[in-house]
Amino acid sequence: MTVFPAEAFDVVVVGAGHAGIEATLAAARLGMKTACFTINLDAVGNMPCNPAIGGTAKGHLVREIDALGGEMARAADAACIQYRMLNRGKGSAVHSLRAQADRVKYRTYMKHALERQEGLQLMQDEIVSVETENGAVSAVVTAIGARHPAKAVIIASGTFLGGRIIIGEYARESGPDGMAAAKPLTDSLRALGLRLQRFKTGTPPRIHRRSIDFTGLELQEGEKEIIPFSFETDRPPENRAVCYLTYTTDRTHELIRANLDRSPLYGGQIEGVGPRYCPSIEDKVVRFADKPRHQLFLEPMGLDTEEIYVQGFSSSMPFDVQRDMLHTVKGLEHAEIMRPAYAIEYDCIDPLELRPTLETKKVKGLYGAGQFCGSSGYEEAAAQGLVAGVNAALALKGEEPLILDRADGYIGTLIDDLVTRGTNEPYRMMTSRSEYRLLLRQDNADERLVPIGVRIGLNPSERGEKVRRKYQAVQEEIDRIAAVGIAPSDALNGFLAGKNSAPVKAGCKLIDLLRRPELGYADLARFDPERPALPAVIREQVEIRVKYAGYIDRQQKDVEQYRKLQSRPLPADLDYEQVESLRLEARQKLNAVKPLNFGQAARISGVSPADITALMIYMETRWKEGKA
Amino acid sequence: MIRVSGEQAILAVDSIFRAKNGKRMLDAPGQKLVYGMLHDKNGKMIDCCYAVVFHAPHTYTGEPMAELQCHGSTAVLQQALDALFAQGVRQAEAGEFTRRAFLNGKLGLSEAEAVHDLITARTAEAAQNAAAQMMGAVGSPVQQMREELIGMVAHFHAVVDFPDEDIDPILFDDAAALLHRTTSRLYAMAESYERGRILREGVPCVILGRPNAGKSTLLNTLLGRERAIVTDIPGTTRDLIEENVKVGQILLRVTDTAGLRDTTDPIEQAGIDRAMAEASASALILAVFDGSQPIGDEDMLVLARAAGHRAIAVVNKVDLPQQLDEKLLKKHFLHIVPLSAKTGAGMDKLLSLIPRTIGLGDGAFDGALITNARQAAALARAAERCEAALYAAQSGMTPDAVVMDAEGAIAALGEITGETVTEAVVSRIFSDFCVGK
Repeated sequence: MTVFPAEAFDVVVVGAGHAGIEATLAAARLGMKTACFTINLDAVGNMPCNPAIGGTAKGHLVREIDALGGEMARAADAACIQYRMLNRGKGSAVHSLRAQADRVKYRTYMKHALERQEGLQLMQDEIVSVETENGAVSAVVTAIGARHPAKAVIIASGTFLGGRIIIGEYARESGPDGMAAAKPLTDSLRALGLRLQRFKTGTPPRIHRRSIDFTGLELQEGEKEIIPFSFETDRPPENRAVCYLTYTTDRTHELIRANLDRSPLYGGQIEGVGPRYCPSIEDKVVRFADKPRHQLFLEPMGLDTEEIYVQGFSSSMPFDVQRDMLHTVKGLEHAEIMRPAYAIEYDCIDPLELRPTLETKKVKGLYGAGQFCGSSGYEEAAAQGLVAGVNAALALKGEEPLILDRADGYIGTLIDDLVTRGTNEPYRMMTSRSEYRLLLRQDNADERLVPIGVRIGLNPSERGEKVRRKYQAVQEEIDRIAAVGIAPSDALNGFLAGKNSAPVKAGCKLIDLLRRPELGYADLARFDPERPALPAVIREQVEIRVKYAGYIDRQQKDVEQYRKLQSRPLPADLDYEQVESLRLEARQKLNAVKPLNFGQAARISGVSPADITALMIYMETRWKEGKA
Repeated sequence: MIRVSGEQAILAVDSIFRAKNGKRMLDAPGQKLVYGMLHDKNGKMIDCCYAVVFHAPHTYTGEPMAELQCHGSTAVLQQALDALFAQGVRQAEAGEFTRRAFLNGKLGLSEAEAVHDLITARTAEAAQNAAAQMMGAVGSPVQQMREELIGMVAHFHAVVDFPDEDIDPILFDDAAALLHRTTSRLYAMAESYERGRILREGVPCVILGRPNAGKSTLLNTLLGRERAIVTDIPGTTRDLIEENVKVGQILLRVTDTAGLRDTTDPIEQAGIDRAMAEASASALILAVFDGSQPIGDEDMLVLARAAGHRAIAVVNKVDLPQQLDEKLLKKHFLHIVPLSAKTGAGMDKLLSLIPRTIGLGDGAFDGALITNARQAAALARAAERCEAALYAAQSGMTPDAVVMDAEGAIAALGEITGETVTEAVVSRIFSDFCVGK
């Protein structure tokens, strides 16, 4: 086929899913002439799996993206139809927002956001190869033969790359939602010497609303007081939809067991590695045989459709088995399947090939983001897209890269986990993955990251000023209640008794009472006549900071320790094979990752604390010898 | 036996050893005994013996190693060493083999520390304890407690990270009970460090008493031989005499001291001053009184020094008519043992009292003791964090805070077992709980 010269770009983004969108917008907003290619222009920001944004730890990611100047939170607030704050009562660290999204509305919003962005061209075409010169990216070639010179390329190929869907005995090359797969790019990337792997994920069936019998199903409504995703959303969105809860039955489980031989997962037709946290319903029934039933949520796909997503029912069983399985579930006895559940396999890169900037180590100017880097989830993808887009732009501008560390946020934790530890299954963000989660709350993402967004140029400076004022007001209120004395009185002690709280004998400060877990900031209003009228977000911060003060201090000390190790650099050219005091396994692992510093080295799996000690001794001797 | 380690180890042995089969040690297969002749650099025969080589990296230190198994005479050994030194070999520093093994990645930190303890063990019990540590007697209870805490933390995260899954709620009582149980076990283990230290280093013990009360006789009886010079001239022992005495399973490091009395002799006074200083640093004082005499002023010095210390009053010379009134002693001492150091009468009672007085009564040696300061510090930290978690739970803090403390305890225990927290928690979530979309 003839290849013809076409327009040159600073940054080319391959894919317009959640990673591609943020990468494209970030690069364009930082002044790069940017192109975004997608196989299907109607699928910009598509949600091929659950129609929801956020969730535990994912909600944190969305807020962090927002604080850095990304788009996802604003799109979610424009398109979401039911909001919940998860894990209320389990502590601020694990509060997470989740919302059901109208997926068509979300796509429309995102496509429009890209179309309106200056310096950005959105095109429908498939990238078939990445060309390099002297080890650096030079151009991309599309399926129709356009050769676009490019200084940086960001691969955000999702499940399109080498995509193959499986429904029971049926399998074919395909991207998600029946779209075409991207085939030739895999070979082009392999030819660049990149190590690729094959992952698998899956999605449950969608059924028609009218075929569901809702009587007797548990209703799940949104929360009354809606907290939006974006710190910048002034008018809170509204709840406009409901979900329902139902359960599998004995008969479902019997059917699954009887048909395991027809499952490609158990029959060996699927070679990709699937995530442990996203098991198919057949997996759950086999692995947790003693569990009598499993929860299923019925979630609307949007306001202008009758399609319902059956959360919890991922499967790769043949269609007839899926149908019969669904019919054993209460309320779904007559369910009409609109789209069957399917498993999908795809190609992605071994994330150990990546630097913390998400640039590949082998090819300068080539970046990855999202499922291509081994993650799973819209939010994880968007977070990486933002970082890759920012770093592509900063590198072209000759500026310092954006590397968020584990104490900066969940984004830093996510990327550090991927590029340091690698992953052999699609990686999902969870609060359990963050060691500093009492500092990295979703409520203070603005304080942590808005200034960084200002520094890199994605946030206007006024936004930085606004955040500074907000937290100044928080500190002023903490200082005030630390100064306000409260005398013992019958009224006070009567109130305390009602709260199961110890009486006050001598006078104390207001802040001392707020430190008690059983008392809230609002509770103390009646004993605090001078209290200023403050917005809810400020009151919340005051309460959290006072209640968790001891924990926050301790985690801050942990962070200092962590950053000490992070600030001890390791030479990029160090050949660990030559460090004989290291165990063989550690030498290989260290050579595979080539960590930037001791902190990163210590987190590599297969590198023990003793190895780090040995490495420190080695570096110390090397340094002394170098001086002598 | 002589053991050589290092890049040139095999070459060094090869150049002083001629195998009977005529082959060179450089070509010898590893771990095979080779019979031959040991000679010095002039070719003069030293001994007929065995040599064996070990090829890196499958050796204790990870380096090439060689051993010579000579006849056990000091002269032969010295000549063999000299021959090796002539080849550029040097004497190893204390613990150097283990240090090299550690640096070459052949041993983990805990194991290396246990090996060190084993080598330096002074009593059979200390050696047994070190061996038990190497076999994991410390590791396995630590591992078990760690696993239990991880289970609790993973449960919390499973509930939190997968709110749509139908996971059993965390029961407050179960969590509190686990934290309570673990806290006490951790404190007990951390405290066993003190006992472990005693096992390893011995118990410093001082014999105090006025002149001629029979202190040196007591030491000699404990030793079973004449060590201190015993005369009936008061002030014979002017300097300190230290001896190691085994009492049951415990190593006592007994110091005999100058008798306490007012004296004008500056040398004797210096001895008395040292006795006083030694006594305050000791873990046990054996205060010796002469039963054949009433309590005198000099005895009051002894009483004052023993006050507030772990001490046993030994009323000596029960073989003579008794003049001492025990009432005064009973005010100051928990344990009073009448005995005759000379005849040995009453010694059994003293021996049985010593372990109890220093807190090493029956059962103190069950299981492995912590003998390492690093492990003890990690255990103490784990105990504190576990206790903080318990307190947070009981005072109504939110679960995220409780879990943070529990994770702190897991991390501290991981310093002993060498593992990190988050990885362990994440894999437990997936193996224990049914989660997914």
